[in-house]
Amino acid sequence: MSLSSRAANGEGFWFGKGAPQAPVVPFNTFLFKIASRCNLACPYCYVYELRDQSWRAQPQFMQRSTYSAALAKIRAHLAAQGVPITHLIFHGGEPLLVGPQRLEEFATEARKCLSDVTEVRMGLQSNGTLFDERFLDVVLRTGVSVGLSIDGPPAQHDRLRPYRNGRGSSRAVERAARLLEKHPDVFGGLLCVVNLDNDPAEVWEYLCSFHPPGIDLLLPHATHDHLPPGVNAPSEIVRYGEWLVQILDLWYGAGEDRPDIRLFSSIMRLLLGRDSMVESIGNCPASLIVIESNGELEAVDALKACYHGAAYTGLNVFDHDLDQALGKPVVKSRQMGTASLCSTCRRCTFRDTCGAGYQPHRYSSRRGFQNPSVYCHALKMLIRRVALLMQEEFRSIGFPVPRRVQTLARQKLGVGDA
Amino acid sequence: MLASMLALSGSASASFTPQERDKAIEKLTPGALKRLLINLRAEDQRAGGAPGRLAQQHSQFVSAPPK
Repeated sequence: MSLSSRAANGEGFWFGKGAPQAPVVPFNTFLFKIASRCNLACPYCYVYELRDQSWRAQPQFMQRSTYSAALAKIRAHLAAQGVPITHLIFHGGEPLLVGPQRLEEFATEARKCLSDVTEVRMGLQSNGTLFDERFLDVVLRTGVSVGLSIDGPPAQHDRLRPYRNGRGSSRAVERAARLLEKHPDVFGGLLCVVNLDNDPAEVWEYLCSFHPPGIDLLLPHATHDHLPPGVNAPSEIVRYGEWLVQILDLWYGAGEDRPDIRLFSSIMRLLLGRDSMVESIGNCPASLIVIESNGELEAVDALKACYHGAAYTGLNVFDHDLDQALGKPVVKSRQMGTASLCSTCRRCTFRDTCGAGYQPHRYSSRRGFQNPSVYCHALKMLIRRVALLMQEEFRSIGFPVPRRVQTLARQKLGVGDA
Repeated sequence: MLASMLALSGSASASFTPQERDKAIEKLTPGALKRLLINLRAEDQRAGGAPGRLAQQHSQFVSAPPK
């Protein structure tokens, strides 16, 4: 059976055979690809540099008519489902390529169209190179929070996030971060892709120097077919675990004024039986849909790291309702919790905290998404370390250690056990 | 639907009572755990005392601004 037939069928690809159906969770996060091109050429980019090349068929920018059609469908979905808070994310490519005027029009139209059915929260994720006072004025006026992508101090950032001519982009993004630092109301946070060549302590200190409210650490997109950068064999995945644990230790002991790292605080929440704040860890149902520049509805765009067309639903905002997307296996699989996991993960002690990590990282051409994460061992190292730190702290105040914390703190991991 | 959704994600199991949590907050020194428990207390208060109610109210997207 071809890859696309297996994906369309779902069973044995996105989720196991005979997996029970999950209750449907409405969408509350809408990711708009308002620009499908970028002015940087980051070697790890899942949109342009990995397996999927569908960006080539996309218009450079989302047309106003496409945007309006999408908002109308979103409004109908939110009104029918009763979603109290809705997140609109302007994304790309590089979303600021649309210019300040169109960004303001997009933001204003969204508030106008949706505010009577839901509380609208808007954000954008940018490489920061174009962010200046004009954009600052727009985001302050419209209440759009801005997240910037910074991979570390200038020399490290420039190596990983160059312009198309090879020049580094650190100076421009530093300027953007300094602008946002003065406006915490619209500073969404920093996004940093983990790179083993960078010193975790240096990265942590550098990111903290901008006083962001939060930091998202992202593992580079990789699959069982294409191992992560710096890893030549599965056993070397421990290097990512060691890197994360080093930052974790710095973050965990830091003062109140240091930024949150959602990956770490989500693990702590999960260990206490609460929900995760990010879709990359835990079993909580994901509630996000992507609207491509041409109006196509797609599942989480990081799936593009897996194979060409992985995020494809076959639906668009002109001809289909958003509810129809909820029935697609690629979307459903992210709302099924444990039931979507492979048998190895379903039996694993870490299951309810790890949730097999980020869905794209489970992929292999042989078994679809029915694998543990390619980062499995690194995630276990990280989770166990979080559990150990929490256990130690609970004990130090004479507080009973929660069961899940206790169980995972005492797990033996074998290779790379630190 | 919410109850089954939370059961699905394993979020329904409370680790300790609100009173125990408040006692822990008092005793803990500043750091990640204390901050987390304070945040959870605030979330529960906003959600009218139903832990997990905020699960669907924040954006989970891994590369979105956290606000």
